[in-house]
Amino acid sequence: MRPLIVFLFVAALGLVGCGGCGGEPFRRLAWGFRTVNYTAELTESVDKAFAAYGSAEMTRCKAAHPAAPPASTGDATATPIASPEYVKCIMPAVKLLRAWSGEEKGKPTGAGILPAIQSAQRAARLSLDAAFDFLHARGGKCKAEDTECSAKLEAWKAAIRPGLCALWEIVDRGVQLGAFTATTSSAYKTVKEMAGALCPAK
Amino acid sequence: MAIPGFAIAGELLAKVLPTVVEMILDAISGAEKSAEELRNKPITISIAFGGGEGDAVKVLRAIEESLPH
Repeated sequence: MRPLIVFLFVAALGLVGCGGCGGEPFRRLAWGFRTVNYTAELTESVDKAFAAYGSAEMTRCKAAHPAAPPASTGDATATPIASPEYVKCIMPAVKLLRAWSGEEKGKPTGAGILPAIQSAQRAARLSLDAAFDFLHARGGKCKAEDTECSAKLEAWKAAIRPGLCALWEIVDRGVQLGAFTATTSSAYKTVKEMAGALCPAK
Repeated sequence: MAIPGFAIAGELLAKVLPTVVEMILDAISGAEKSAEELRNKPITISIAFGGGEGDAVKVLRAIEESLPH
């Protein structure tokens, strides 16, 4: 019996040590696809959470600081003007939503996190698709010392990094403001893990 | 005894090896299947891959409309 056990153990070691006998590179790619999908899922839920937060804040601030007719005319039918207190109340939500959407007063700012993550996700998916095709064409053979293969397998991380790190920052800000609370979701946890691995520490 | 032991091991090996090899190959091709399924899974999330502008920007526009111009 012992020779059989030894043989099986050595065979298992050989497979693990093979570092690319079909299984391991595809597993890495599968993890890549899952992570990008989770990032997309988190993006979607953050957008909805921020929209709900903005609506709730607008309702709260309007109730707390009702607008008044323009003092100069004294005309009760004139369009009410938002009070400075209302503006101060709603500004944190406005800043968060502007940072997220990349729009201010109807114009793109060029600095939105949502456009950045959209672009990063598209690029990461293209990288993953290309890596899958590459690996598939080589019958799954991708040894650890093969630099071209490693580069293909890792390219998606470089593609998604800018968007993912920006997403993580605003999710963090959203959590602090109470705008985002789904911190136990798989998407949140996966992105948190990826951000820890890929993004510079603050 | 070494020689009888090896003979028994050889017999056992001949019986279990095909199953073990099949299990290993399944595990390997399973990884490729997983990656392929994930790759081919249609993406239903609308805004993440540029499929729309999302709800948050619409709320922002409504709030900005309520601010003094």
